[in-house]
Amino acid sequence: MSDDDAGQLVRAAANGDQAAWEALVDRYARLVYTVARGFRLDDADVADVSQATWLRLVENLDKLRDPGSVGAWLATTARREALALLRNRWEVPSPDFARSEPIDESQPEPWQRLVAEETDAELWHAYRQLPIRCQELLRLLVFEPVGSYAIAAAALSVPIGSLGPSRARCLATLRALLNQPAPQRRT
Amino acid sequence: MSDDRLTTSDEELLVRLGSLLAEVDSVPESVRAAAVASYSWRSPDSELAQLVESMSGAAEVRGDEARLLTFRADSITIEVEVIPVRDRLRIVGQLVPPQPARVQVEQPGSDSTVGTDADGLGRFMLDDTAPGPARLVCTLADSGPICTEWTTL
Repeated sequence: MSDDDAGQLVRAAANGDQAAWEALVDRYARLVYTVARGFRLDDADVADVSQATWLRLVENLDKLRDPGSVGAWLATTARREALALLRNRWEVPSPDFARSEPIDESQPEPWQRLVAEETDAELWHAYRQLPIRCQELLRLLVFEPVGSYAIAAAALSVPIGSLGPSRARCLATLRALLNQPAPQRRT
Repeated sequence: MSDDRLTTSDEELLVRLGSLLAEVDSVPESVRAAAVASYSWRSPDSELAQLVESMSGAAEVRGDEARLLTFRADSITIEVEVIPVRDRLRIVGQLVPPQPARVQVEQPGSDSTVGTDADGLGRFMLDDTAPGPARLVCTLADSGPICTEWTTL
């Protein structure tokens, strides 16, 4: 999947191709969801941010300056929607505010550990041992086009140029952890 | 100097990590379904009114702070005040220039679309709107529909 392919899907969806739209959702639903979850929002708000982001893409299908970069566009839009929602929350305190709880990304749910152990336990354990910043960066680099700085930079709102050394370091650390003898399980 | 290109083995590692995260960190089905369903709100034939201003705390109504939103299209400006009433929202709006119109609020979460008529002075009110993504659709006497940008109320 290259930028060109993503651009073709956008153009096809703009012309009424429902299957192209679903292909875009398949490719990027988790990116939008991941960006939204990076903020201190509860499940209902994360769902709203995701929905608003996709509605805005529908609205802008034929207006994107660079359809090939739709992944980065979605990451930026999800980030903006989340920040706008947080701003409203702060300015208009409501009962909802009380149920907003920070998501502790460092503590996977028990079922997540279970799933991961059944699939690729070795890689999962190595990934979980990475510094949080590396985990955050790498989880944004897995989207098509794989390893692209554009999406991660948009999601994190940092200059693209700042990510090169981090990507190299995080990947090297992950590889080093993978090459270690069987991981010491902590309980 | 670091090379910006990924090595094949780096790319393979990221692809492997991607499939792992897809399982561990999967998107709830309802969230995915909402993303797919967003496409049904495509309205290429309507004019888009852009959100040009968003202000909070401009008015104090029953202890809750209202938001003022201004949407602008070529032919019309739509100003709305969004007032929280318990866990629902009241939308009080003004069309500029003043004119009668049909005004509907569309929300992906609800099956029915609520509408009202703006009076001769372009004023309208929509009660009992749910918080969440929404847009207003204005149908003027002499033009096609004008949709506001999707905005999370």
